[in-house]
Amino acid sequence: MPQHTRQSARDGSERAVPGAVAPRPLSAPQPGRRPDRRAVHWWLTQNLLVVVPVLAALAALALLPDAPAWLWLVFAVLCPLGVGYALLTPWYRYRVHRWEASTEAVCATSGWLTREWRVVPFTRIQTLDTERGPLMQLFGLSAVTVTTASAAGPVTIVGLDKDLATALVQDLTERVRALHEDGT
Amino acid sequence: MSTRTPVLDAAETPDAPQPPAGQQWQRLHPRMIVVSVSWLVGPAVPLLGAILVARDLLNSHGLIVLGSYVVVAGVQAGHEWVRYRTTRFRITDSKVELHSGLFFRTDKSIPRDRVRSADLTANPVHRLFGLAAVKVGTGQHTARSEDDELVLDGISRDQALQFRALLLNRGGATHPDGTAASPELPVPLARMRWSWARYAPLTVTTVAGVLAVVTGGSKLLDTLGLDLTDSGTARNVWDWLSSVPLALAVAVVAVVLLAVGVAGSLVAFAEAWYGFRLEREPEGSLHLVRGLLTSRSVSVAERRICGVELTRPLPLRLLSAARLNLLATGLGGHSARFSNPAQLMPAAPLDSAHQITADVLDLTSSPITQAALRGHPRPALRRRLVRGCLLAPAGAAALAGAGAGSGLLPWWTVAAAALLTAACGAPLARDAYRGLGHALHGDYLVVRQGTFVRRTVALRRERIVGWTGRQSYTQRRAGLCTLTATTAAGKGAVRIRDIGVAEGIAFAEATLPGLLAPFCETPAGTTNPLEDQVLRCVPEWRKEPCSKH
Repeated sequence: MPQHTRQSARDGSERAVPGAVAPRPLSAPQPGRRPDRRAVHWWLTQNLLVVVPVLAALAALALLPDAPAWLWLVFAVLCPLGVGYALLTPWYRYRVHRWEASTEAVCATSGWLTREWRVVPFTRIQTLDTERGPLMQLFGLSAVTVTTASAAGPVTIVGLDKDLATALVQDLTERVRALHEDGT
Repeated sequence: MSTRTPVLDAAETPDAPQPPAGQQWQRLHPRMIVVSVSWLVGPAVPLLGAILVARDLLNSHGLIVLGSYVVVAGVQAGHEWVRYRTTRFRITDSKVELHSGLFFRTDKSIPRDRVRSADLTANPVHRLFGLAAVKVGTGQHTARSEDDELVLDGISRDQALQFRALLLNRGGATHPDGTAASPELPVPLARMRWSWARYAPLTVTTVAGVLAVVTGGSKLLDTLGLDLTDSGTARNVWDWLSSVPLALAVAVVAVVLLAVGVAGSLVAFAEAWYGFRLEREPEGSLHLVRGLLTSRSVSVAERRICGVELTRPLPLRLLSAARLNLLATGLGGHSARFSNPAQLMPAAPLDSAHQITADVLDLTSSPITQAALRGHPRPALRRRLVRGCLLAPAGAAALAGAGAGSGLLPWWTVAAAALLTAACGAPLARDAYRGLGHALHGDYLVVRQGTFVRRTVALRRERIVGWTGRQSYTQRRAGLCTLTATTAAGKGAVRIRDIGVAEGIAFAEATLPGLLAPFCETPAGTTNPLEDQVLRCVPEWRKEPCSKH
């Protein structure tokens, strides 16, 4: 399991000192931790649940006796696109999605075509939501959403192992409570 | 399945001083029933008027509308009575509580140290009956939007004023005192100037007003089953219009609609801004009063003020005028789309706007005028030119093509539409690019963007609650990103569009030092930054054995 390798001891020596001016140009944030590998299967299942019924319905329509011929053309175009989307994006997402909780902030990256990173400092966290949809439960996954006072700024980390998510929420809750700030 | 862990237990206020608040449950004012039902008078007047005028045209359709109106009125009155009977509220020394509803009970409570705003509004009917509505806000706009807001609609005006004073003066832990009636008077920051009315017709509301009159009028006639062609005057006007040359007829109609629009916008301006007064109260909070028929009163505690937003739609820019909005926690967002309590002044000359900005932010000069804005990289211009000279003309051509395909327009309009749009698009794109800018000036983050509506935001940097970066595929190719400073104020986000990635990260890092740097590695040196960062950091809690393993 790749999970065990991630439990190695923390190596904090290479981390930048907070407040220090970085001499070199900074790249976009690259948090250190990947989602659980089962997230790929979860994304795949999700995609298939959308793509397969659509393609099946299209094929069924095209098979009807008096269906127009262009339906097959549409099917021929959509089929490779849909299958490609369903099979490839989960892996691509797995490459892009990252998260990390540093000593001061939570950071997460997500997306595949449009990529996004979000950073929220602990002092501004208001609630921590754990969400487990039916599909997620099937794969033993959880999503953690960190909300702030801004409607635009929740950080969502999807595809976490459910025990890890619980531990993360507990840990973050304690750390934020210790800071005792008002959040706005 | 979802669980929510509130991180902040705000209910714990152990040793709060005892306020003179009534702790018993109180009801809304009984006159509120009349006020709530009074909106039914609105449709009744044109309804009865139309029926009276056009007695001879009244048919069964009209009678059905009349009957359903009576039913609606009855149901509404009953509903309001139930609402009155079931709604109770109280202020204890730790929270404000509101219980309401018969079948679906909602019990809301807001801890008093979380109260960020208490805004009074009174529409004309409220005022006629000496009532007011108080909206208590916490400034927390979560994804579930207005849950953190409590509205007491219909308490007497005196009670409302008392209520507001009680809630705001107690402030929070940072303001230990302030309840004592201080002899100081509020400092006036701005007053109404009727010369500002000259900018009022230059707003979108002019067009919207014309549309509203036209559509509203036709809708009403339609609802009543009246046909305009049956009326003598309407036919006479139509006959006259079709007898004169087409150009004259179009001009007459345009002038009439424009006059209606201008008159409407002036009336709207007077209604919204009559008696406008902006002042700073002795304890530091801003207080804004305005409105002719509906009086609006907004109080914003000093610690809630996060910045301002200077808005300049294209017509106002040509006349070097601007509007000004306040960015404050608990103002704006979902609930304020129409009444816009955050607007600090009507469209006014730029100098006044800058002056008010400086006064509101308590600075000697506005950070917007002082900041030296940095422009954005050239690829940002290319993106705008692509939009203005390729995508917009393509859209216009597609529309014209659809028209031509259905036989409404000749085919040459397709090319004309594309060329015309491209000709307008190029200067607009250049203007949009010139408008882009960002800077850090003292404690303020200043961001400018937009062509049709140019917005300049000055946001106090300690009010930024997080940074978000977003890169679409094309932005990634161009080395740009959209950087968003999230905040509790206004719509919750200040966007810096199409900034260079490295520059943007450095800028974000400069606003909140130490926030981003731990997550950012330099691009040089590592061939594949993704792979060797997987093991970079394992937080403390992960070292503990999980129950699962």
